This record gives sequence, C-alpha cells and structure tokens, in this order.
Amino acid sequence: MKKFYYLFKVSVEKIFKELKRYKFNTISDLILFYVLFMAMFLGIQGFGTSLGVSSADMGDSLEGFIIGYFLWTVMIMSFVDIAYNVIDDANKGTLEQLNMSNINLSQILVVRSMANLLVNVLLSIVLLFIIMYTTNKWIELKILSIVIPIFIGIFSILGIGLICGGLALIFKKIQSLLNLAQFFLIGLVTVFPKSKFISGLIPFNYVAGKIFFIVLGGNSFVDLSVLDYGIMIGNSIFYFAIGLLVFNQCVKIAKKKGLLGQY
Amino acid sequence: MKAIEVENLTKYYGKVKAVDNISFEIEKGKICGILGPNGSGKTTTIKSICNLIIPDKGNIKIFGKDNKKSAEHISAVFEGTRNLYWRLTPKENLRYFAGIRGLGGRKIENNIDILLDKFNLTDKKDVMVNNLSRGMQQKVAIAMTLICDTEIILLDEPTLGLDVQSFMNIKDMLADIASSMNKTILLSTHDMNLVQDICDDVVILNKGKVIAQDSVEKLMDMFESMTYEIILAESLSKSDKECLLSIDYDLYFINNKTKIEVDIFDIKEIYDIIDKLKEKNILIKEIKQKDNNFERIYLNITNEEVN
Ligand SMILES: Nc1ncnc2c1ncn2[C@@H]1O[C@H](COP(=O)(O)OP(=O)(O)OP(=O)(O)O)[C@@H](O)[C@H]1O
Ligand SMILES: [Mg+2]
Repeated sequence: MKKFYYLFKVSVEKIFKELKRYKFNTISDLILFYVLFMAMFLGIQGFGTSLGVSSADMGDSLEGFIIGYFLWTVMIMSFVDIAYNVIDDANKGTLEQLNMSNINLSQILVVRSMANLLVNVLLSIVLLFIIMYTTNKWIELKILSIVIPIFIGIFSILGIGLICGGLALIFKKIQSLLNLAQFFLIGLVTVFPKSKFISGLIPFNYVAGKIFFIVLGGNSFVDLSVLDYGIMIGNSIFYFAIGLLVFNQCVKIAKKKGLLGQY
Repeated sequence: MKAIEVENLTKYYGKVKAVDNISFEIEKGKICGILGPNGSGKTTTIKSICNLIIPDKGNIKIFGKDNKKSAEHISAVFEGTRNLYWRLTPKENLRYFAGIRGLGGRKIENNIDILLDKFNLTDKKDVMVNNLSRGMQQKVAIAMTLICDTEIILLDEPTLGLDVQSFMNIKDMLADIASSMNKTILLSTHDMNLVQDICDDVVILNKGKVIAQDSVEKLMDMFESMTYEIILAESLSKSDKECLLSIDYDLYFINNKTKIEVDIFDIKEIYDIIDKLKEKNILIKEIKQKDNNFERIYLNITNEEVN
C-alpha cells in the first residue's frame, strides 16, 4: 500500500509543479473555461427570456446546467488524462521508463489519473465558486453527496480511458478520434434512458442521474437505495475490469511489435 | 552468480529478423559491453531483457528468475529518447521515478542529495532538465537508475553524442558505480575506448547473431598481434593499393592512403610489405609499432565474419 502512497504523492507533486511552471497556460485554461461557461450560461438565459420564461424559473435549469457542466469536465479530465498521457509519455520517451516499474503500467496510469482528478476537482470547485459569485446564483453544493457517487462512478470512465489509451499505443492515428470521443461523453451525463436497467448499462450514466437527483432534488447520498449503489458499483467494476483487460492486452501487443519506444 | 541469462533469444519485426537465436550470460558485478554494427540487434536485445519487447522465442532470466517477474531488479537508460521529464528538475525527476517504483520517504530524499552531489549536479538541481547540457542530462538519467536502486543497470549507448570531457566523466562514473556499488552493468556502445577501459566482458553481435563472446582481457590476448604503422611520403595510387592488398595481410589504409596499418603475427612479415613498397618505388617516411587496441580487435572479428 505504501508504494501506491508514494506513487500518488509524486503524481500530485508533478501536476502542481507543471501547473506552476506553465503559469500562463494554467491561467489561460481557467479563463477559457470560465468564458466558455459564461457564454453558454448567458446564451441559455437569453434563450429563456426570448421564450418568455421568467428568470425565477431559470433557477432549476441553471443548477442542472452547472452540475452537468461540472460532471462533464470531471469526466473529460479523467478520460483524457489516461488516454492522452499514454500518448504524451510515448512521445516524450518516458513511457518505457514507466513500463519498467514493478508497479503495473495500468495501475500507474490509474493512480496518476486519480491524482489528476483530485487536483482538477479542486480547481473546478474554485471555478464554480467564481462562477456563482459572478452570476450571483448560489446553488447549495453538497460536496460529500456529490463526491461519493463521482468517486464510485469515475472508475467506469477510467475503464474507457484505459481502452482508448491501450488502442492509442497500437494505432498511432487515434488521437483525432479521442477528440471526438470527448463530445460523445457529453451524452453520458445529459441523456437519461427511462429504464434503470439500460441506464445502468451505460458507463457513468446512472451515477450522473443520481447526482442530478441529489443536487436538484435537495437529497443526500444517504437517500440512494442499496439497489442504486449496487448498480453504480456494478457498472464501474464492469467497465473498469474491461478497461484493464483491454489495456494490458494492448500493452502486450505493443511489446510484441516493439511499439513502446518511438511513437 | 549469473545476473542475466539470455537463452536462444529470437525476435522478428514482421519479416525482419532483428535477433537470431542468441545466448549469453553475465556474471553479477561485471560490466559487459554489447557491441555490433548498426542494426545488429543491440537495442532489441536490451529491450527484451527489460521486458519492453516480447521475443518470439527464447528465455531471459534475471538472477535465475523469469525476467517478466524481475522488474525490481532492472533499470535502464535508452538511446534516442529522453528517459526523463524535461520540464522537471533533476531533483524532481529522481523523486518522480523513485515514486513510480513505489519508493519514497526520507531515505530516498537523502539518497537523491547524495547522488546529485556525487554527480556534481548539486548546483543544477533546480534547473529544468530541458536546460541542461547533453552530458548533464545523461548523468541525471544514470542517477535515475541508481535512485531506483536495482542490482542491474542497462545502458543503451550511454556516451553517444558526448564531448570528450563528458565522455571521460561518464566513463569514470560507470566504472565507479560497478565497483563501489556492486552493480551489474550491460551497456551497448560503438566506442571501443569505453569497452577497453571499463568492460570486463563483451558480446559482439552481427546481423542478429553472437559472433564473439569473451572477456576483454582474453580477446586482447587472443588477438595479440603486432600492429605496425607505416607512414608514406605520399598517398598511394589505386593500383598500388590493390597490389598491396594482394599479399593478403590485414591492411588498413588511413589518412587518405598516406598511412598503412597492418596486423602481423610474425615480425618477418613486415619485410614482405616493405619489399612490396620498394618494388613499387613507394617512399617510406616512418615505421612504428602501435599498442594493441580493442578497436582493431573488434574490426578483426567483425571483418572475419564478413569475409
Ligand atoms: N520497432 C521496430 N520495428 C521494426 N523494425 C525494427 C524495430 N526496431 C528495430 N528494428 C529493426 O531490427 C534490426 C535491429 O535493430 P536494433 O535497433 O536492435 O539494432 P542496434 O544494434 O541497436 O542498432 P544501432 O547501432 O543502430 O542502435 C534493424 O534492422 C532494425 O531496423
Ligand atoms: Mg540501438
């Protein structure tokens, strides 16, 4: 366990070092996110007004919008982190070094991703507060009630990230597809099938639904049933296991073809 | 004790046979050089040992155990890639790669300082690796293998592209690492000085096959020929050169054919060459005996293979 602690620790350190070293990038990224959000938000408001919806009724959809946006960024970050980091490390020539650890590469990537997630969730929450401050719409953020389902559900996204990362090792042209995949992920947190069963089969979808249920319905994580938790955990285990399987198989193929070195 | 055992290793890339049924062993605590012309399979062999390439055939054992289960015993620096994070400092890199292997804590922090000091990198410890010279980057990469504290270190062309100063520096470092830290080192190189000065054993590859494998000392003895250097007053014409080659000695033409080097096994043989030169009216400026060196041995072995 201690070895994962050190792995997690250096991963967080590296992320902060790089955020600091790329100050300009970090700040411009944050500003971009903020501007993007405000544009979408003002756009919705303008749309609402033109349809004659009073701004009081906008409240609910705004909250939904904020949460959806938040979930989407969290998801993108963990998904992108694994898939892009594999490509990035292959390009830099450090992937072989990572592969020589006694800790399995997929485990390294997952731990690194968790570190990244932690940092990004912290940054997103700060950003969220800035957004709420500037729009003067305060939604009650039940951090614990959101973080618990996210933590459970994120493993399904990590699984998908592992699949994409593994494929990226073998098929070098996959990078452009990854960009597209990000936008399909929006669907996972915005489209909810009526049937519990179908929703439970789609990665992260059920979790996203429950987070809306918590935030918009004024509920808490204790209001979710055992079945809810069962579905969320089952869904995550399923996709994560497939992710690990596919990734490790891809690494094996890459090692057979001698592809780990130069990308 | 055997640190590395390679048995019948074979690797194809598609139709290209990169490594062809090679076997060799390396004793614990030795420095072994793996030599061979470009494309002879050195990198493929090294990466197979590291379990970064899965061979088509053969076994690799590390201290008697399958290499797939031996990651904790091996670290490596590869050629042609960065090995390090360029946006991190030497200190951050060492800490990061230790962390990647699940190592950390006060002992590692201490070791990092000791290593940076040992490699004269202390005043560069907070400079991004990107901004260091090639020699320093290579030193940081080697320090990285040491912070991982593995018994075996593999180095693919560790002195490639270094200036004389950095070359000497790294050469001394490697010799010191092997003797004072009791590490087993396998390095590939095209630099025969490095081999002659620090390697205990060599494995010579050609076209994916082992063509020689012995201790450097033995090879030096075995090939103990006398190398003479004959300096001419002017450069040889093409026909003169061919005429000289016809006497069937190992002749090397150097310096725009104003210098001939020849390996002879009997001192009388030198007269054959002098006679030939006299017959062709070629003026000799100077004749002297050269020290035996590994470069010549290497050329002998690889040329023999070609002929
Ligand atoms: N990933 C790869 N895919 C296809 N062919 C490869 C790959 N890596 C190496 N080869 C081929 O395998 C052969 C052996 O290559 P290798 O890199 O092992 O030689 P080397 O001895 O390290 O050469 P050098 O001295 O140039 O570094 C060469 O013919 C090379 O072109
Ligand atoms: Mg090579």
